[in-house]
Amino acid sequence: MISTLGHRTTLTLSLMLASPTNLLGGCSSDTSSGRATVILEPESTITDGIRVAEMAPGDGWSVTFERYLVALGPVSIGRDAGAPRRELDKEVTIYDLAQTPSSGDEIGRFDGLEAGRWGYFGFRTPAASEGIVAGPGVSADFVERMTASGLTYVIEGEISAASGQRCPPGRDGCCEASEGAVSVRFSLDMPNDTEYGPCESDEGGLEGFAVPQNGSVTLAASIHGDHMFFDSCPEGIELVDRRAQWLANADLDCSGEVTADELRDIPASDLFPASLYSFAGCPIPVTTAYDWLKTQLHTQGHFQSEGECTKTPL
Amino acid sequence: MKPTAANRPVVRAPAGPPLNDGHRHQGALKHWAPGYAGQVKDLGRPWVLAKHPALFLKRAAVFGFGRARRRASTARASAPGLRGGLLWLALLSLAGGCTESPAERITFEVRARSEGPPALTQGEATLTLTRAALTVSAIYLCASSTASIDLCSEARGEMLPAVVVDALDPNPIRIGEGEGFEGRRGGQGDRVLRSAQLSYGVQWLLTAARPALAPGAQASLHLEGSLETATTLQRVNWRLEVAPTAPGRSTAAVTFAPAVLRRDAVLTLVLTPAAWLAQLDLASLAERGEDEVALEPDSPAHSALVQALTSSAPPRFEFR
Repeated sequence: MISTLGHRTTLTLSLMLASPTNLLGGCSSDTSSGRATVILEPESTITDGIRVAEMAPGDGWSVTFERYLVALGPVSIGRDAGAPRRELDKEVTIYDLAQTPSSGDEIGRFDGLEAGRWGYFGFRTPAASEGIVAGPGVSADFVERMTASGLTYVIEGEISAASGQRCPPGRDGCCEASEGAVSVRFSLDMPNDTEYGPCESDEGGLEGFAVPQNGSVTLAASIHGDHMFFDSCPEGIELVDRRAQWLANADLDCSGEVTADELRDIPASDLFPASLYSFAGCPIPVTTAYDWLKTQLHTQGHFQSEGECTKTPL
Repeated sequence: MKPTAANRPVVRAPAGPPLNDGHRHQGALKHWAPGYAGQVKDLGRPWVLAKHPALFLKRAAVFGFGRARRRASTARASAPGLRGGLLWLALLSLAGGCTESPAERITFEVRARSEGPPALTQGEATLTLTRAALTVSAIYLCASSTASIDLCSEARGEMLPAVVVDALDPNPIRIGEGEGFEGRRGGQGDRVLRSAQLSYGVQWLLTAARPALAPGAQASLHLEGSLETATTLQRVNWRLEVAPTAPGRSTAAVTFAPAVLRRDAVLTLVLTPAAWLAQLDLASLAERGEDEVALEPDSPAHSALVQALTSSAPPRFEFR
């Protein structure tokens, strides 16, 4: 193309390209105004539960979540990883993901964004503290409960099996004399302060997002719900099976409900046989069942449904 | 959820071309070739010229100024040459912001040493080790903050052979030599190590139906010693195989403070055998067996040792 131009034109173009301004680098960007709408998106495993067929072969448990409270905020964006970040104008809020449509709920907008590539998207799931507010359908009691204990999650639900047993470690025999239909409730109060970001989209693996000229883009802070049943820590690609027998066996007092306090008392090696579980690459060291739940919760934040984020336990 | 097969050969990456052949060499040193001017190059990538200014300038000279020489007999001879040179200068300036010096292939020493007592006491029970032989293999050094088959797709350093390490020797002992790319801290193209993957002498290749011992490995961990209580004295002789749980995976991952791999670098693996034992229930173990303490596969004790090696007490990586 350049060879078809006249010498003067080509020379001028060359000089323009080689100008000191150009040497300083920097690419011009469109200054048109764009918008990013931020949504909070629960994985369908939270809203719809997990069927037996979606668990590891032979596990036999299904999962339903009645309440899946998470503290979220701030959400931030930046032109690139090192650039100043803009935070979403929104208080740190407790949302109930079990009551959120699986398509997501809008939680705020960034207006007046330059069109082009924005290299950073991130969000935090903090420990609840003074000033945190209740999202849709979240009662003041839960705000108080989460704030008092510095919780990030309150996860309540049930696992059920058509033919199962609870066999807590250190007990002679199982809670049930034989296998049969059984359900176990769980009520898990968990601190889990985690910074997610930079995040990359699932398609293409590029960090951040693109703002179209005079247009809008939707940014989903996605929370997965099934990691507590994984048999290894997901590292990028989720090469895992889901298993819930460990949670049934964690019912130490055979009361029919498992709490986070019970998990603190159980060595991980009593619930997670080495032939089925791998702790390699988990965000925090695992020595108890509580550690296992905590480390898995640290991996739940995603971007645009399945996109990966760098996860930093705080 | 998106279960996807990953490909990470636990064999050495090709020592020469073809480069960037489209296959995914997870965790292995990639684009590994004696390249231009003795440096590593990556000819399969479009931005190679930006990464290798020497090659860039060479091509600029050939195509820009060479053209000028061929036209020297015409009255306007200098214009095309000047034009070509300026064009290359312009393109060089465009690429300037992305230019980085190429990484050089280096080797580094790998050592191991033990830290802490070779024993654990719980109440009246004491387990004392007289032998602790740990096999380490397929060490991959990664730039990512978490080492994983996905995030560490291109290792920056590696030591692949299986090596049996005396985990009771507090003296740093040379266990092998690693290969990698020289690192650099700060600036554009920061080349810093933050994590590592490793295995314990058991590998699970994607093409295999099950994990298998790596060549030269007998077990992942061999512990010998005694378990003593107020009334009993039992022998301990345990051999464990600690395997990846899925094909293509490493067995353990560790993170460490950002480190730069230099030509004279020494990587030391710090082993903590007492920490491996920390989750054992010694009183319960003493009830299992008479003269010798049994260690059944998948028992809590077996799982505790495996989980210590893979999560709570893997080798600590120290760089000097």
